[in-house]
Amino acid sequence: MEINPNLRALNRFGLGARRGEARAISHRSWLLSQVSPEAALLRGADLMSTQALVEQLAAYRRQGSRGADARQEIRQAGRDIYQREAQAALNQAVTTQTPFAERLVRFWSNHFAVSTQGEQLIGWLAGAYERDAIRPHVFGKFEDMVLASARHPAMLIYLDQARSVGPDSRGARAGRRGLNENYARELMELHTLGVNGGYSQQDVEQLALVLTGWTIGGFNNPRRDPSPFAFEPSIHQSGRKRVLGLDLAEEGESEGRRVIAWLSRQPATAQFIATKLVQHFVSDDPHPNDVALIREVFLETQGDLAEVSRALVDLDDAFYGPARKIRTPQDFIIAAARLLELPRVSSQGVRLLQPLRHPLWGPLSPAGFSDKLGDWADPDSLLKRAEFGRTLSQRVRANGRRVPLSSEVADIVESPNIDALQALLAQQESDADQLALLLASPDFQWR
Amino acid sequence: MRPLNRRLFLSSTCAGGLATTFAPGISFAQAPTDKRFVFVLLRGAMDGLHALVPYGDPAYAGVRGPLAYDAGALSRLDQTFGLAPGLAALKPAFDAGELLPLHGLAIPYRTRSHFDAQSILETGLDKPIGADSGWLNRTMEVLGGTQGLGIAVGNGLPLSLRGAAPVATWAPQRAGDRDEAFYADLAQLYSRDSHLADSFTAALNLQAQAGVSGMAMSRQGLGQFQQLFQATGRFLKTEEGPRIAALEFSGWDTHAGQGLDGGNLDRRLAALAEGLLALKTELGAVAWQKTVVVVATEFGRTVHANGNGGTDHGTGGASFLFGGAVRGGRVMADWPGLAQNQLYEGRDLRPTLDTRQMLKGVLAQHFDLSERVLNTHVFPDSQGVRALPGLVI
Repeated sequence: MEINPNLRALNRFGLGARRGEARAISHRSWLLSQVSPEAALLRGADLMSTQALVEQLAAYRRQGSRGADARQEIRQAGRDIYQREAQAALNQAVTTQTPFAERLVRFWSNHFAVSTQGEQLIGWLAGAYERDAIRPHVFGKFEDMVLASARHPAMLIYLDQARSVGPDSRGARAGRRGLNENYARELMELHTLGVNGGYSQQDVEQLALVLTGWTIGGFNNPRRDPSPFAFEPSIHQSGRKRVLGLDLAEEGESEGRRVIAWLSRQPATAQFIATKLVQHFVSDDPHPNDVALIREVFLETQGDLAEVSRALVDLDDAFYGPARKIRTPQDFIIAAARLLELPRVSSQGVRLLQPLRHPLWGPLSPAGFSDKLGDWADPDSLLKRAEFGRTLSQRVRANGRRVPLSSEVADIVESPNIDALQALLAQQESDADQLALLLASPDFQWR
Repeated sequence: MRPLNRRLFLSSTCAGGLATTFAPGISFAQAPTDKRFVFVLLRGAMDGLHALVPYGDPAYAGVRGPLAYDAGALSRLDQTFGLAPGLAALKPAFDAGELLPLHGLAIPYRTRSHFDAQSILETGLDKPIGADSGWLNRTMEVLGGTQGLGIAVGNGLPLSLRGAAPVATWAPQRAGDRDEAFYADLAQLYSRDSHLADSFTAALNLQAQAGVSGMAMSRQGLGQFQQLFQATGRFLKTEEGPRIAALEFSGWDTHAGQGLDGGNLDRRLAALAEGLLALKTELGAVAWQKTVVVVATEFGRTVHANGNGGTDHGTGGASFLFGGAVRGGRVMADWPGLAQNQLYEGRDLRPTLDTRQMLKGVLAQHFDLSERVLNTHVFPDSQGVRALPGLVI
């Protein structure tokens, strides 16, 4: 198979090649030029700030959201907000000139996953979470992203931190709920150290105590002003704590900040993050040398994600190795839309992700969505992708768009059987049939 | 114990990696079992008191109020329980010993969140801790985890079926516009892709096995019951087809306008019964004798009707075992009673059975799984949860 590193840059590190791009770029410099904080921000969308969303939710509460009509209204408002946010995020993915930056946004957003499945308020907040807690830190410090995620109302609600109450606090004596370990556990298991990261159940409990009081302004106490984050001393468990060998005197809110910094600098965290990154960009079974390289950069720079991102671009395996990655359903749809240079994603496009089991911000567990072959290449999924290819190409024909010709296919997909693909495409009767077959082909499912 | 078990799942799921490709319909000569098993999950919490009606409980008519059935409207199963009118079509199966209704079941964790409760029912754990593999997938692992042993029928891949063992998927395609030339070309391309070829072949085989169905797929529509059960029957009866299937149906969250005979919920129950019978028909006599279907839901609903003619999220509920291999013809329940002082938190049916007891009993007897494997692998950390005896022939 002929390997074209430019095509690898576009498909593997980006969101799918457009016509002509593979000849217009130089893989490393194109990727490195995208490592810039502004490139990771959401552009040109007029969306509500996290503060405004929290205020609107608080307003619903004050009106008394008890009745079925009020609940229905909140649900509908949440659906509308989700739809706008999802379309804005996907529009950017489809149109961006810095798709590597966007891929990193999507990686980190999924690493620190919140989910609309099972908790309707997350529909209100998931888009704002990605915009405010993830995007600003994609080329910043890892620990700043952990902290921003920890303090965002989407995460505070999703993993129950907002309702966790110190068992000996004043709040507990007033009859509020007890300690909730959910976020503390996932912070170590999924966000930093990884499942084999060397922490114990006692560390989980101690960290849960440290974090008591971290909540949403006005969430526990409606007399307080609504704000995305508040430290509520009345539910904080006071006293000394010890997490993963770090001794903490009673310091209120700053205990949690100290532990997050501590966890972010652990070698286990560097190893876990490096493994996930190489797995995501290079191979389902990453080479230990590649992981070690990223791990060292992460440790040396104390989690400078701009440096870590640059180091990914230095992995020769990514450009010349034999391994390929399956496109997730979202990647697949985005790549198809980019190839066709569609200007935006329709609301139907957002809904389409549901039957493909990959709704935006909707994983079934806080571990986020998988990016591995075994989770996406089931029979029905391949058929659904094929049908999507057909439907889209028919629509595009109606719009009179130019579609790729068989002669250009080697600049769009990498294939061990490129000649067969090319020959079959050339036999198709129309541009639309060519396009349908290309999108449905096995080669288009890989990146 | 909890973190340890969680770790086991995560690592076993990851270990699937590349090995977890999907290839049913290729070679099933080595299928590890000829038993058939179908798990039907009713998402949204089916009202157990409405489906398997405790008409003989002296408190029944009083506590259910406007949602109480007259005994005469029911298919009576014994002195206490009767099937709702919508399930009347299953009465002959009960008489033939092929239907075993159970009452008073609940998952082992008290929550009224659909999501958490479904997650517990599907992972087989006793807490909602977000594990990403299910008890049915772990059962498949224990049975040998061969390619194509299990299949998810309908859109979506239920959590119960997710995990390290490979799973096939099938959902109805839109009827009437299949482009044979397009699929022929695609098959040619896929045949050259070593990772995806088997899965694509399986997709086409499953489409062929399912047959062309004129019904359009609609997520809430009642027609989907028959369509999906029929397809399931066709897959499971195929000599080299899958042995284990999972289906899910939503629309059971009847907070308003539940109705009685011929009402909202009753029509849905009727569609379910029709679907189950269609499955039996499709399976044919031989496969049917080897079949157990489990119908379960995440929790029951409140004993009292709410102000909107519906019911709210409750606790204890009902399940059904159906199949030629079921030892049915009786209702299994350690009936907790419906008098106000017998209710759980004054509002719900008090649970007297752990759902896992039923599931463990079925798996132990149907697939001959050992207690050790059930206690540690399939339902981790469940030593104290005794499998119900005598469910399966």
